[in-house]
Amino acid sequence: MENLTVILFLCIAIPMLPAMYMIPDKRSRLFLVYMLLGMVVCLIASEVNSVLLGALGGDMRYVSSNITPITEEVMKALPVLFFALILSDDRDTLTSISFAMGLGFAVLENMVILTGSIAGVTVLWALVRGFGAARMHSACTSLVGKGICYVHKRRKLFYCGTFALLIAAVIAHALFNTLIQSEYRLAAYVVVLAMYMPQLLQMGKKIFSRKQTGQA
Amino acid sequence: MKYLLIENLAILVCAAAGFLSGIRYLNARKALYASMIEQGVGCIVMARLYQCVLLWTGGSLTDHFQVGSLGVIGAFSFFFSANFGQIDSLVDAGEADFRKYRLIAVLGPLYINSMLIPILLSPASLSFKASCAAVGVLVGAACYFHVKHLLIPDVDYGVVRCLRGYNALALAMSVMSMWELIALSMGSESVLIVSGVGLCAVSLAMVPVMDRGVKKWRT
Repeated sequence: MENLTVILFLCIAIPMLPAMYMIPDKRSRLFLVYMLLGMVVCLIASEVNSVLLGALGGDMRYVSSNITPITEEVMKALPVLFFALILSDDRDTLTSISFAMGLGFAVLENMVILTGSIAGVTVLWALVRGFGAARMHSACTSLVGKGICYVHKRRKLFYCGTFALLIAAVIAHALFNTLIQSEYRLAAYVVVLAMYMPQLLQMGKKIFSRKQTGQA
Repeated sequence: MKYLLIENLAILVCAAAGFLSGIRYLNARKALYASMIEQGVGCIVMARLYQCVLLWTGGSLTDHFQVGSLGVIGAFSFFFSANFGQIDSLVDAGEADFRKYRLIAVLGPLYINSMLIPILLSPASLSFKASCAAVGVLVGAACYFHVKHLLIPDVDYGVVRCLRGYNALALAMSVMSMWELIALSMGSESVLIVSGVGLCAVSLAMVPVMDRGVKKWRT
């Protein structure tokens, strides 16, 4: 395993561990646990991806647009699936833990990429990674989390539905990775912008309903 | 390359239009069968969207495995599950009288899987052939029920009779999808155009025809 990746993981994860005992709220604690799990998954995924990169002849562009979306999305979805099957299929909880999972993954991934290309990074790079790739990871896992809650309630839809959710997440991830490496980089941000839309719409809805209740 | 991009773009637009026409079926209170078909068409939309982007950015559909083929696998697994899990037990309880329909239906997967032979013998890459084989197996499995539900007499509930239009279209989609894979592996533009036009028509009509069938069955 890459030493630097492990060191980065330890630097971020260890200070977070005591917080798990300090936070009284169960839901926030769960969020933190899944954020840490996201980092663990990132650590394992980086190892799996480097093995696959070697096996597929080192074609970085092909591997990152067709293979890593599959490995990463499947690995991120497994703990969420475990939670839905064993513990609870409450929609809000699943959405929040899956978002945390993607967030934890994105945080460590950003750190790894940052240290790997330290000479070339700028504030713009940080903004792009923060708003772009990080959002993509959390949105893809949230999609799986939200969807699992729906398919889990309709038993006959479960296997197919879970597979379809994974496909949706993998394709969204692959779309972003393919576009970001091409000359049409701007189009990748359109994909990310589309991922912000549900949250923006929800915020708008909340503000609108608050205004209406205020007027009444 | 240009033909391929236009073909994928046209199928994307048609499948998206079909998907949008039945979007209400994603509601949890609607018929599960219809919801599964709708989600299958959604998988096709995702697959074609990715393939369009891949071709637009200079990628190739045949050099390696590409994630768009997962969308096709997802779509046919929905079509298979919808017929196998929801409808088949209503019309066939394993009676000896229906044995001939079951046997005739086996011709569907046999025909679909025979189309894998030219793909496997083509000069395409090994990973492309492997993904075609995976697609072929699922298309074949779905095809068995499409053929069976087209032929089997529906004596008790009348459900399958209402859905024959949809099953005919789904069967056409299965065949066209395999033709498209043959065209891609052989580099045949004429077969690609024929299968592309067929897939456009079928992916546009599938959800509205299924919708009409479901409404007929519920009234």
